[in-house]
Amino acid sequence: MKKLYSEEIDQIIDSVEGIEQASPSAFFYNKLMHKMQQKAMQKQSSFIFQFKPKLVIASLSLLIIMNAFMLIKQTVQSHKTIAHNVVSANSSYDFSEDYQLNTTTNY
Amino acid sequence: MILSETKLIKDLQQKSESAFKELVNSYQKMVYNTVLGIVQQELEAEDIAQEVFIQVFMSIDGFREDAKLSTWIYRIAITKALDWERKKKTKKRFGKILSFFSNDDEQVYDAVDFNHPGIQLEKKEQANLLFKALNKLPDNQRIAFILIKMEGLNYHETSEVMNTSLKAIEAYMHRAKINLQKTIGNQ
Repeated sequence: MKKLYSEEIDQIIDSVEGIEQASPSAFFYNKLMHKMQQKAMQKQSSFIFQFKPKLVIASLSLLIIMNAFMLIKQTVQSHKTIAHNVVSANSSYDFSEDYQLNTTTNY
Repeated sequence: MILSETKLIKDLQQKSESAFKELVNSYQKMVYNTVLGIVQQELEAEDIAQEVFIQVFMSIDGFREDAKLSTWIYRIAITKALDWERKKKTKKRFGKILSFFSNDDEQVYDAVDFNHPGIQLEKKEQANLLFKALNKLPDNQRIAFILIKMEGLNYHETSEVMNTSLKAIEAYMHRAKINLQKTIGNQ
């Protein structure tokens, strides 16, 4: 490949100066209107999908938080029930101890 | 008859179709050429230009009249074109990976040589080299170069469109020329 001289490089850089403006196709406006109508119809038909990603993420996060809260609440409640059962079991044991109900007799 | 800018904006805010048609007729070349300079594909440029006008129509209520309407439209056009480029790059990057998981053979290819329809025949070869080199410039330098050299804006107008200082534009242009000289010299 031949080496370009700095003058040639400058000519290349200036080659777009005074460029003629290009025109879009003749039906640019009609196509644009068609596109706008299509977008409007899509918007009407897919109401649920027009939610913004931020809103979807926020809703999902809320759902996850609520689920986590319920899970934690249930776990805490089940622990409390177990503890209560243990306490009540212990107290009934103490009662029988106090009145020597556990001791075996000949009667 | 061309409506005055203030009236045009008011009519657009009232969603007047005739005002919208007036807007498209007045600015379609400006939008199309700016986008074409960035994306370097005629069909895509037309599609993006349409998206620009839809965006203008939808967000005209939020237009603050501290900037000219053309400045605001330039900004939307540049943003849309750069967004399209980023999406194209991402699609290209993951195209091969995705092709493993689907039967769809659709892949993203670069246009081989971009021939701008407004370039004179004797300058086409030179312009091809320039467009290839332009793609290697950082966005700020490339946008400044396109607005000044191709769109014919002056440095002050360019600084308003790019929302930066006049000195920054001078620096972008200086660096753009140096980088272009290097890239073209190595081609």
